[in-house]
Amino acid sequence: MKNWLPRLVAKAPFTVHTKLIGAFFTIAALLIIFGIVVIQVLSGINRRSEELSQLRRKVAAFRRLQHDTTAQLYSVTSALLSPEEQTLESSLRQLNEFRYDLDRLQFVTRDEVELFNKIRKEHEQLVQMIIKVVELTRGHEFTKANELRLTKTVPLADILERLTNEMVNRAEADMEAKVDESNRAYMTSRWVVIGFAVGSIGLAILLGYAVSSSLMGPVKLMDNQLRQIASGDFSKRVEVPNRDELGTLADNLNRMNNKLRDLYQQLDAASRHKSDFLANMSHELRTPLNAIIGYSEMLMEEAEDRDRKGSIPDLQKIRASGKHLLELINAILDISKIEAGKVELFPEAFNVKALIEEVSGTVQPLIEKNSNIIAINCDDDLGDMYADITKVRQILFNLLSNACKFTEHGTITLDAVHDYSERTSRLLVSVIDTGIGMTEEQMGKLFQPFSQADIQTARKFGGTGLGLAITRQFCEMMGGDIKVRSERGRGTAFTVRLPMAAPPPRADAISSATSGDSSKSV
Amino acid sequence: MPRILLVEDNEMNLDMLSRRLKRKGYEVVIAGDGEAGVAMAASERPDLILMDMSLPVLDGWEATRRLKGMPETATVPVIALTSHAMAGDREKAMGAGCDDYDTKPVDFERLLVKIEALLKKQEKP
Ligand SMILES: Nc1ncnc2c1ncn2[C@@H]1O[C@H](COP(=O)(O)OP(=O)(O)OP(=O)(O)O)[C@@H](O)[C@H]1O
Ligand SMILES: [Mg+2]
Repeated sequence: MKNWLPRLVAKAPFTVHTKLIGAFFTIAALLIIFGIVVIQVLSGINRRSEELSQLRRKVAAFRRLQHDTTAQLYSVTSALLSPEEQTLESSLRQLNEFRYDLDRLQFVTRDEVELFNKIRKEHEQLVQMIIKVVELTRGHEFTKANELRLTKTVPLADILERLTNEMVNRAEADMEAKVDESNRAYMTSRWVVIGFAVGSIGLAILLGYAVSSSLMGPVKLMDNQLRQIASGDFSKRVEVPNRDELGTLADNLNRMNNKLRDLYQQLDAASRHKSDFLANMSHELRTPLNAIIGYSEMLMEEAEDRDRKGSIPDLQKIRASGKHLLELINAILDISKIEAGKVELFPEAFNVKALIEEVSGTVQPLIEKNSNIIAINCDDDLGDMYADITKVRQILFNLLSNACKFTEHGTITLDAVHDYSERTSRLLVSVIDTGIGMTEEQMGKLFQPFSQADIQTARKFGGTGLGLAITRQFCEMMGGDIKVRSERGRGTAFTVRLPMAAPPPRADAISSATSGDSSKSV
Repeated sequence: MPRILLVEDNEMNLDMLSRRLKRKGYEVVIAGDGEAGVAMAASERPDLILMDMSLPVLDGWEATRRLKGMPETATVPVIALTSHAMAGDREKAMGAGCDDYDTKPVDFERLLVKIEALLKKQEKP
C-alpha cells in the first residue's frame, strides 16, 4: 500500500503537468459528487417532511369528520326535541357541510378508498334517514320520527362514528410510522453524508500522497545524488521509476554524473602524471647538476691549491648558478611531492632553541648580503619540541630567507614564544622585517604555488614563488597555521603556530592543504 | 691517515667525491654496488663508510644492515647519502643503522664536518 501507489503514479506515462491536472480534476469531481449526494439527501428530507405535513392535515380532516358526525347526531336529536323550523333547517345544513367535508377528504384519502366509500355509503343512508326524520317531524308525527331516529339514525351514526374513528386511528398510526421512518431516513442519510465525506477526504489525501510522493521521491533521490556528486563521489546512479519530466531529469543527471566522472578521472590522472613527471624530471635534472656543482667546486679548490686564482670568480659563478638552479628544482620537487600526497611526517624530539640558532647560522650570509642585522628573541622556556625537524627547519629557513631577500639595510627580528594559552601548547615564531612590505592585493595571492607579489618583484628578486606555498602546507600538515601582517614600504611579519607535540599524522592534511584557502589575516 | 670506503654507483659522483676526499688527505677505497661495498668493508677495514642509498645489486639500507650485523664491521660508522629527500629517507637510513645522514648533492664542507665528528667519536672510546 505504502509504495505501489506512488510507484504506479510515477510509472504512468504522462507528464507531471497532466498528472497534476488529473489529480485536481479527480478532487473536483469528488466535490461535485459529494454535492449531488447532499442535495439528494436534502430533497429526501424535504419530501418526507412534506408527506408528514400532508398526513397531519389528513389526521386533522378525519378528526373534523369525526367531530362532525357526533355534532350531526346531536343536532338531529336536539331538533327532534324542539321541532322548530330553524333547528331543522340548521341540522339539514349541517348534513350538507358534512358532505363538503367528505368531498374534500376524497383528495387526501387515496389509501383508504374502501373505508372512505363505506363511510360515504353509511353517511348517505344516515342522510336519508335524517331527512326522513326531519320530514316526519315537520309533519308533526313525532312518535314515528323518534322511533325512526332510535332504530335507524342512532345505529347508523354509531357505525359512522366507528368508521371515522378507525380512519383517524389509521391516519395517526400512519403519521407515527412516517415520523419513525423519517427519523430513520435522517439517520441513514447522516451516515451516508459522513461516510461520503470521509471517503472523499481519504481518497483526496491518498491521491495527494501518491502524486506528491511520486514527485518528491525522485526529487529527494536526485538531491542525494547531486550531494554525492558535489562531494566527489561519482560511483552511484540515481534510479527513478518515473516516466515523466522527472524521469528525463534523472537520466540527464546520470549522464552528467558519468561525464563528470570521466572528466574527474582524466583530471586526476593528468594531475598525477604532472606530479610524477615533475618529480622524475627534477630527479633527473639533479644528477647532472650534481656534477656541475661538484666539479666547479673541485676546480675552485684546485685553482686555490695551484695558485691560479684568476679563474676562481668564473668558477664561483658557475657554482652559484648551479646551486640556484638546484634550489629551484628542489622547490619544484617539494611542491610536486606535496601535491601528489607523497609527503610524510617523521616527528622526533629536538631542542627548539638549538634549531633556531642553527637556521639563523645558515641564513647569516643572506642577512649580510643586503646589509641587514638580525635580532633573535627566544623564550627561556622553549624547551623541546616533538615534530618533523626537517620541515620546521625548512619553514624557518623559508621565512628568514624571504625576510632577507625583501629587506635592505634593515632589521630582521625572530621572536620565538612558548604559547600555553590553548589546550595543546604551541610554538609561536614570528619573523618580522623592515623591508618593502606588501599591499593588500599582494597579500591576497600569498601561499599559492608559483605566485609572487608581482612581476617586477619577481624580476628583481628572483625565486620561484614556491617558498610560502610549501611553508603553509608544512604548517598545516603539522596541525599549525601561518599568518601574515604587512604594510607596503614598512615591513612584513609572518607568524607561524605549531603544536609543541605533533599530533598523529593525518592522511587528509595533505589534500586539504593543497586546496588553497589561504589562512591570511591582516 | 683515516681510510674511507666510498660506496657509490654514479661514476661522476664517485670520481668527484674520491678526488676531493683524497685532496683533504683521506685514503679512499671505492665500491660500485652494495655487495661489493660489504665485501670491501670486510677486507679493507675502513675507518668510515660513505654509503649511497640507491645502489644496484644490494641497496644502501640492506648493505648497512649487513655491515652492522657483522662483528668485524659493526663498529665502523656509516654516513648515508641520499638524493634530496623529504619523504623520510633520513629516518629510513637511521633505522638501518647509519650513524649520520647527508643529502646529495653533497655540501662538501658540511660532509667534512660530519666525517670529522664521527672519526673523533670513534677515536675517543
Ligand atoms: N618578507 C617579505 N616581504 C615582502 N614580500 C614578501 C615577503 N615574503 C614573501 N613576499 C612576497 O611573497 C612572494 C612569494 O614568496 P615565496 O617565498 O613563496 O616565493 P619567492 O621568495 O619569490 O621564491 P622562492 O622562495 O621559491 O625562492 C614573494 O615573491 C614576495 O613578493
Ligand atoms: Mg621565498
